[in-house]
Amino acid sequence: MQYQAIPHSTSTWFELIKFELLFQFRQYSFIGLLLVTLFFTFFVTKNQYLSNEQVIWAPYYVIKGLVTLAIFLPIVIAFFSAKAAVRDFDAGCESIVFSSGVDKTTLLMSRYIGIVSTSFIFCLSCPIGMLIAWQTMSIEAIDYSQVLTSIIFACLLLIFPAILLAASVLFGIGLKARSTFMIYIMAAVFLISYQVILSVTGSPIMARPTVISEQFNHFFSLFDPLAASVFFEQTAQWSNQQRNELMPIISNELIINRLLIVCAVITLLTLIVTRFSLLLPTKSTKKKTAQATKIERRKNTQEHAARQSPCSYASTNIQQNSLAKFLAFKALIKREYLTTIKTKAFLLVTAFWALVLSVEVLNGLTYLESLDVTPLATTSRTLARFHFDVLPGFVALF
Amino acid sequence: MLLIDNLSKTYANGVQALNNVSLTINAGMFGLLGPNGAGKSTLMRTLATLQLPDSGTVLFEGVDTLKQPHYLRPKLGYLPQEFGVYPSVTAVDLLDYFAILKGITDKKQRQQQIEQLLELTNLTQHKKHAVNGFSGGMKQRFGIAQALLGSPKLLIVDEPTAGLDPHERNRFHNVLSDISENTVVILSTHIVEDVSNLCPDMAILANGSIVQQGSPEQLVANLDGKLWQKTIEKQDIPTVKQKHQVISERLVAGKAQINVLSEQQPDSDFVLVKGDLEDAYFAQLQLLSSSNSSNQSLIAHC
Repeated sequence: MQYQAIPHSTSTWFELIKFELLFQFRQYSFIGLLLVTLFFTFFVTKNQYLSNEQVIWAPYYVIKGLVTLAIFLPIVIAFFSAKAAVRDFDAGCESIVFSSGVDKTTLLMSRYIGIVSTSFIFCLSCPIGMLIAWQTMSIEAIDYSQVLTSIIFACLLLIFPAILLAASVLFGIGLKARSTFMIYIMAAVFLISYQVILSVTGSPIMARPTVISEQFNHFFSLFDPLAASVFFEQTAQWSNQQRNELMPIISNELIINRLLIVCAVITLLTLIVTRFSLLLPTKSTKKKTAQATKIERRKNTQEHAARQSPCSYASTNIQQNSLAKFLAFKALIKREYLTTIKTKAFLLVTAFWALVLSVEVLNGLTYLESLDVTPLATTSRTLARFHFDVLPGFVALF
Repeated sequence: MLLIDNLSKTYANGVQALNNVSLTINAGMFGLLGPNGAGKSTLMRTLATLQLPDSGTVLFEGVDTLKQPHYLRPKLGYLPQEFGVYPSVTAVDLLDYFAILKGITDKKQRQQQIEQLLELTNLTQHKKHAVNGFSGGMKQRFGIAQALLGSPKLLIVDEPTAGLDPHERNRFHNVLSDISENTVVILSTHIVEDVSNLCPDMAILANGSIVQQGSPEQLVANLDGKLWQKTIEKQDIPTVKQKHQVISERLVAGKAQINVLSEQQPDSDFVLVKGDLEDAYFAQLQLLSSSNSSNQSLIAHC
């Protein structure tokens, strides 16, 4: 049976992005994650503590709430990045995809746009959760136009560039490392690091924030992916009434921050596209080494032996004594060691925690010796933030 | 149409997968025969522009495809020896995706070709099922379908009939035969029968080098008057092997039928037989193996 020849067209972008979106949306885990986030936002909003003077749907509180929830974006983006960056390798269809004729920019950008679009759509579950919660709270006279403006401000101006950045970083890591695990590890590192930085820059969304250096604060406000520091700096002096009524402005600091983030994204994407190649990874050497000759000789000898070898083999008894059991156990331990401990990912996690713990120890020592040094924000501070901010939210679920 | 010139590839672990491989392949079926580990898959990956050689060139329609892979890829259909699929994606959706990657953007035409290919590979009734749930043979048929997307001008199929039942294998042979009328089809396999049935031109690859090239008839003709056969008891095989250059042995009704390559009749019990492609293939490998072992003996003596 013959099949008809079809002329090729160049407009593959739209179709590829459509596939990426459908691929992500059709995962049960996506729907599950979306529902969990929606309900989490719903319960946290419903149980949010505000005094009588504070209006829950006021711009300040809406933006603050969305920014706080957006701190967890790296984990969500890691989930989508893993599907987009590592799926060819994981599934074993790299050779089919790479040899298909698609150019690398189209392939990579369609996947990147897929991650960004899915993450952004996912983020919209937070304002939806908020809106549902307000409906059940019998709040009077919600100004929906103001709420919409606040949501647009938070989602488009603060969260969207952060999604662009996190997606480019995690997507790049995925393509380079070809490991889902590595993507999640790096996402966790970013999540914790960002919280630690928020703590040491005095962010009001962290429990017991400390300012270690005004200079560092200024530097961080330039490169803060969420621009949370710019937002809180702008609103730091607002009274309750102002928080209820005023909308944050698009200040010069905010514009510069957003431009720097977009520049960083463009740089990262350019790097990703230029560094990536549609070739299967192999390491080759032009010189024939002594090892090569040895391997070749061994191969030839084995091949010759295989052709000359008999078609039967001597039977052997399986040992069941304690020595054999011990040797089997040792072999299993060795296998586990090679697949878990002796890996780059384990080394990376250990190095990160060693760093965090050493800061903890140093902090403890500085504190105990009363050297009049401002304590560094460390694990205890991150834990304190969960203790004071996050745990009450979870308790509200019950 | 496809010109391969002095391709060499050595992997980082020292294995020399390709050693100055040169071939000229015209439109039609070309069989590449070789034992496991001969370098067939490395050559296929290199031709499919998925891997760069250390040296050498590949010209397709006069264009160096290693320097300009984007010239070849849209005209290429590739079925790798081993491939996987995305989890939970149906056959029709995955073919649709691969078709988009190939640049077939017109939805109607795409759907039409996908339907035809699903029918061609006998997968129409499974088109709404996830491919990762397919059996080995069904997955292989899916691989064939994706390789034929976009009507390739160069079709590279690496061990395509592995896992196919005889009926599907015949069906696939017919498909390949039809396509090869105006397409370069490279069939890489270690199944001699596939090459024998389909390919007017072929080469034998062993230890990374082309050891013989020509039509199957030419290769078989080399054995004329040199192939001797004898039926013996199984336990006598080692003794006969020590005395003669046995190129192959097969069991017939519980007894061993051995083929020996010799210019003269090795023994009065041996009868002269006409060889087939399998005998020519085994003879070539046996000669190569013998020359390697004698070289190694020389090296050992040195």
